[in-house]
Amino acid sequence: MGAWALVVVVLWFLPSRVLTDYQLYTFNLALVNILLAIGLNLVIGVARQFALFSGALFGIGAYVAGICQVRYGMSFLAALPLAIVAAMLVSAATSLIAWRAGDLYLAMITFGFGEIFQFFLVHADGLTNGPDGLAVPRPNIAGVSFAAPGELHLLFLPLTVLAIAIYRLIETGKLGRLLTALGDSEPALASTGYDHRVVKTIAFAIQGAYAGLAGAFFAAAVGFIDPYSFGLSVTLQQLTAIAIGGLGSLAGALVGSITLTLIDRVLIDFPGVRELAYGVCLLIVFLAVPRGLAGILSRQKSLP
Amino acid sequence: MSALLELEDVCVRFGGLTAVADATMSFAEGEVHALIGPNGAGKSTVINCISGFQRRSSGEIRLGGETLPHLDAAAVARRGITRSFQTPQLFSRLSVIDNVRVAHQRQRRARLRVDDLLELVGLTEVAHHQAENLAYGQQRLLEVARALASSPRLLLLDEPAAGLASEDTERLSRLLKLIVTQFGVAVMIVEHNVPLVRRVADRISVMHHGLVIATGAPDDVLNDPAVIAAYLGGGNPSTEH
Repeated sequence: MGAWALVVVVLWFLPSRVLTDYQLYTFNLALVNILLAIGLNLVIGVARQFALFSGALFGIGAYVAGICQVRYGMSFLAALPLAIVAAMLVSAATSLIAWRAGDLYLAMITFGFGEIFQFFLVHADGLTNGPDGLAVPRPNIAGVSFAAPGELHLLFLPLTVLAIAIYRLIETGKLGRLLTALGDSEPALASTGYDHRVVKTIAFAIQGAYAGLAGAFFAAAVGFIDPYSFGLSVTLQQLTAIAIGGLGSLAGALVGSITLTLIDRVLIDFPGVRELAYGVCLLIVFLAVPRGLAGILSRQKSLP
Repeated sequence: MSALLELEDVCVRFGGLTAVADATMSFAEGEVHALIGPNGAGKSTVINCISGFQRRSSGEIRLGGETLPHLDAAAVARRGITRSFQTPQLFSRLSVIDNVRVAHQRQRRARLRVDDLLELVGLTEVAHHQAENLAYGQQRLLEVARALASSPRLLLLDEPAAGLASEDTERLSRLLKLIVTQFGVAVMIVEHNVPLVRRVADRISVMHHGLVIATGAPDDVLNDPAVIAAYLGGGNPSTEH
């Protein structure tokens, strides 16, 4: 516990002193991707509900945070909970589909939802400013501006750590047990008296909360949002991240999303090559370590 | 012994096929009621129907004298009717103990502690193993432990002894005796292992082609010529080991 606290403190204060702005910007994006990946991991990796609309939930978080600040003059800290709640509600509502449809059907329907959402962002000009996008102000808390990547990092890191800690509590508690049980056998879960539909909705709601938080961070980190940042590619990137890291594992989601963020940054100037790199990574991981990068750690631990 | 659960003229039809026809049977607290019959006779459909996994086409099910409406499986379980499955349905990524905890954590006044449940089915030593790594027989016993963790009034077991080693079958039969005598649970067991049925059952019903063709005390039913013809075959069942 103490060692972890030390790591967090070091990660909080050290990077803004030693890293360049670009590196800090990448660091912040990694935090955003971590939040997205752990939310998706809970739904797909743990509860095994193939919902493919992370990108849309991420967009809801970003746009609600952005619109609240730009159109209604709210502060970042006031807009943040609204972004979380909005994505959470939309995700929970979408879970009603998962009450009946499973697997491929759920994947198709949620994918469709993501496409419609993007269409909405493009065409609801009055609210979203359409394809031109929205410039989002930098957070300002009690007169202190968080504009530079190093300043934003000071704000994002503790909140991300808190979100990871909450995830860990969920994962290791009664709820986590239920979510795993849901993923393993719906009939068996029902036979213990739990309504699998309620458990699904809870899983979706949690994913929504994480994606909403990630969206609000993203809007603040980049300072500009447009509809094209929240499509299927985001979902696929996160799916790749948790697959590379090891489906269902928190450590896997962390390792995977950091890895992909770095690949993403390195290859940003080579469109197409990036997706190819994701594919190569998936192939290498599946062939070499089928349980994902996080599996390497646990495998070494279990050796006599 | 009063009837806890009664089925009256329950029919289950799948399109043109009648899987269960006018089944009438009752389950009393503190009693093991075995349901036997050839494959496809409709035994599992009866379990699915009682446990809410299958809607009945007609007929009535009464729990404690009151008509049980069409409920989903979780709602049935919350009323004290739990089950095991013909193919084990475990939470394969959870540990053995966590499988039991999922059912146990809903209970306000649980009859037994999780550790005691594992002790009962003999899985204490593998408590922290992942459920999917268990041997087949142990998986079946874990299902029974999980079903018991919900402190049920009626326990429905779908072929719990299939694939069990003889010592595990022995343990299962002791366990069944214990839960009916100690906790007054009503047990319904679908089973092909006739010696086991003979040992544990207080009452036997026989199904054939969706019909209940005999119900009664084990000796009467197992010596019934119609039952021998439909299920037990030529040999005299009482001479089986």
